[in-house]
Amino acid sequence: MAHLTLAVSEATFKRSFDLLKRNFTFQDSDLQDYGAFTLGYDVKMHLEGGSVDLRADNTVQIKELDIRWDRLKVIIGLDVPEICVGGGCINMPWPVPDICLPKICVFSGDPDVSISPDFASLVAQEISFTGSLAARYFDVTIPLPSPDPCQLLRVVPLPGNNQWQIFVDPQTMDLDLFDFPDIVGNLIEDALTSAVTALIPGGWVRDLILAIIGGIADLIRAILDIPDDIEEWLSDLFNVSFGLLDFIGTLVLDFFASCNPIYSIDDPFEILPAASGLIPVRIPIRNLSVRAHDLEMVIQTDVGA
Amino acid sequence: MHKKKVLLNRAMFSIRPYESSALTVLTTLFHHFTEAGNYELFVRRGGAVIHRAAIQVGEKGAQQQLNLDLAALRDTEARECCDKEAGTKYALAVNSIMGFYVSQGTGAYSVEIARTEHKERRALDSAAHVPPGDLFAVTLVRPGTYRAVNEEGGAEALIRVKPPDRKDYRAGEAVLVTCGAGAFKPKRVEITSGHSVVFRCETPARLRVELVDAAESAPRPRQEMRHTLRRSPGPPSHKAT
Repeated sequence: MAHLTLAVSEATFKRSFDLLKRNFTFQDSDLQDYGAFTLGYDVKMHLEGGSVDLRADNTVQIKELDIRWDRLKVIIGLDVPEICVGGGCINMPWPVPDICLPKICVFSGDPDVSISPDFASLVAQEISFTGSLAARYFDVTIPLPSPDPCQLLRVVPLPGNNQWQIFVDPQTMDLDLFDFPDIVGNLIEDALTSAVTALIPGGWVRDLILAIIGGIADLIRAILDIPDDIEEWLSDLFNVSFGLLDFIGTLVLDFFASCNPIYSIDDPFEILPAASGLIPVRIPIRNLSVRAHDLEMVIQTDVGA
Repeated sequence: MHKKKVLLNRAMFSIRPYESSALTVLTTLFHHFTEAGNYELFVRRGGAVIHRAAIQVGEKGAQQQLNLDLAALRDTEARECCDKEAGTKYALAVNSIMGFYVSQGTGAYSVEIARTEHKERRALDSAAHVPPGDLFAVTLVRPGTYRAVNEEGGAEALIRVKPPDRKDYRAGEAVLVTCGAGAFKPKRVEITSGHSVVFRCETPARLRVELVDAAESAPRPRQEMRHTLRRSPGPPSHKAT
């Protein structure tokens, strides 16, 4: 039988989890060059909401944790192809060879256009996971792994002494795919069209250039090689090509499972502080275990020699 | 993506006459080499020679056409005194074509080609005239009506440049016009904006193409779409009693 038993109510556990959750932030940016175009993202997110349920089967269920995007910028850059007049060849009577005319181009090079609309307010995602509670011993004499996988995720400071640490250890996780709404396709097309149009002088010059490139919307689709649904294409980019979904999932798992304990108990644990010239009274903590019950979390431990 | 600095080729859209004696953006002069031999090329801008080169025209084995961008030529290298082997050389075949065009900028150029052995025998002096057998091309971008004039004989032709159709635009098309003694053939041509007219000279010619009537860029409203509004009659005025 354990020497000490400590119970934490579900409400207290929820407040502790909320505190930890509020400190989770993630930001990243990347830009990939595909030759005629570039694609990238610049994102920042945090977690909000969600429900916490301690369950009788010794698990913790976290449901509908909202991913709130503070910034969800999609960066699309186009390398507009050469826009030229003239050219072509004309047949000449023998012995003169066929004559080919030079092309005269509208721009001194291939112009670039770039847009970075922010869709933070248009994308909603949730995370749910079920995990167990895990007790691990932190020994300050053991150096941290190098490189430290928790370096960017750690919000609970590293202790200066040995500790028993309790983690929420997700076993399975459900994470909503990126699903950009229909309006995103129009916003991207409008922004790119405006950016390309801004390059071109107005009036008959614009008519000529648009005739040569065959319309801006078609040009954009041709360059990006995108299907009719821009929003579907964009969702695939974020879910698959950028690998952002897996990355976020892994970060959330690591954040809770191995980088930030929800509770920690010093070893030795101080039961009486130093007073009246006497040293503090500390007891060694041994064999700590943790279990989830329906309404509370229970920690049991022995007091060592 | 590295952001490139690009400039609009404004010279393409400025309105001015196009002349064979002063080659500018959108004009091209083609010289037809009918005889083998060694030639010297002089390119002038504003009267000063900016480029000299040797042209070797052989019986066979060389290219059939060479287009030279006069705006991209470097300044002439000093090769006049001592080393005649140095400098730029072009090799062409008999019956080949050498084209001279200006890709950008506002400069006006002229081209002179002379036999190396007999400098007095000029094969081409574009500032004076386009010799028979050579061609002058102009690419017209501004929709409207243009007049082509051979200032040597006074022949005239009209060129109508249609606005481009976005749905059915074909790039790189050109129309051939013969510039004979006293007349162009055909006398009227119609092209689409961005296409070219190529004048083939049968007699010495000094060609000039100028815009005489710019087309409206926006379509005119149709007459039947006009709607007239009339003010409704106001209340009857009260007579003073």
